[in-house]
Amino acid sequence: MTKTILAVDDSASMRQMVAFTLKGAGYEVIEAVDGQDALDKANHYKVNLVLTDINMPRMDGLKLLEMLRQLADYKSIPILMLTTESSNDIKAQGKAAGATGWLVKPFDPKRLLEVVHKVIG
Amino acid sequence: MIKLDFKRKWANFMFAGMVLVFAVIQVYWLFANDASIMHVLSIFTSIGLFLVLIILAISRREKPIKMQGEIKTDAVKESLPFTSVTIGNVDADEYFYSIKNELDQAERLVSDAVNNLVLNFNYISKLTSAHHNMVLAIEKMAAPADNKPILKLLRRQMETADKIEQELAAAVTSLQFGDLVTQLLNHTTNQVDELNLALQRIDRKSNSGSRGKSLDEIHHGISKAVVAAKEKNKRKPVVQQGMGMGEVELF
Repeated sequence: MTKTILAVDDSASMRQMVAFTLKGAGYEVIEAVDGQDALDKANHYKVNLVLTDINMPRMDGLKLLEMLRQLADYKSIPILMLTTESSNDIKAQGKAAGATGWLVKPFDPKRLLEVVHKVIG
Repeated sequence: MIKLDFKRKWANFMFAGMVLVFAVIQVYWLFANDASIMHVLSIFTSIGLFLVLIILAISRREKPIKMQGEIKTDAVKESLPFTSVTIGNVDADEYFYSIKNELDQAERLVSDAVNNLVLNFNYISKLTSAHHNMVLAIEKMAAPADNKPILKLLRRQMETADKIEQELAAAVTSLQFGDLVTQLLNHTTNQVDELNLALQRIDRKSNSGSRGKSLDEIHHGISKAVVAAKEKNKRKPVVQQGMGMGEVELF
């Protein structure tokens, strides 16, 4: 069965690059433009993995992470942060809020797929 | 402002001179005629007034004056034409506005370039995929099992298609530059905005005071404005110096 990934980023080019990589490997990809959009879509679709940016308008990635972890369906769903941010402070915040992993941009498609395979098979 | 200060200083000197002349005439009158108590009082008043005017004129000479973005003493300013030093807040606002416009322009250019590159990327990706499938189809349908030259050619076609796909995957990493640059430009725009606002606040405060600000006070105000602007944009969203792959960590 095809696994579904929710890709959240306010940059259209980033969403396209993520979608290109994941679709090429056979995943279904749902795109969201910010945290709020992602939260709405997370409630409508059954998602196997969330891949989210941090710096976004309306709702940032860390807030989205907190909100998703409060939903029963997303307590154990892997949530990967894909961001330009790499400071230890913000990583610690993400980890404390329940992030599964941290990927710093720019991502390498091969490496992204390895991580995705590892967390959702 | 400078013109006014310059005139005021010389008016003080001239008026002091006139008061001195008046005092001298009164002293002469005192000795030439009968002295009255009113005469003596008038002489002391004139001398007092003379001293006050002289002190005022001298103290006005080196008083620092804050001028939009730079500090100069009257002595320096007097050597400049009046028009060159009457800079107002509007000029600073316009300057900040033009910086912001240029940053916006850079962001639009980057965004436009990235959109075009992504379109090209998608098109090449589709062509490559179609080419790949076509080679596979030819291999299955048209190539006789014993026709080694055709099989060799098809294998080479397949290798070329694979190489193109590898290059496309590498382009995925490079094409993320748009996101990094846009975030950095937004951060810079916010810093410029914050600095402009903080400087405007300092400027308003210094203009609302009745006395002129000293050089130290103005420096302190500018430092405070810079610190406030920095504090609001402390977290730099992009620290990458190149387009190499970022680190990966699983918790």
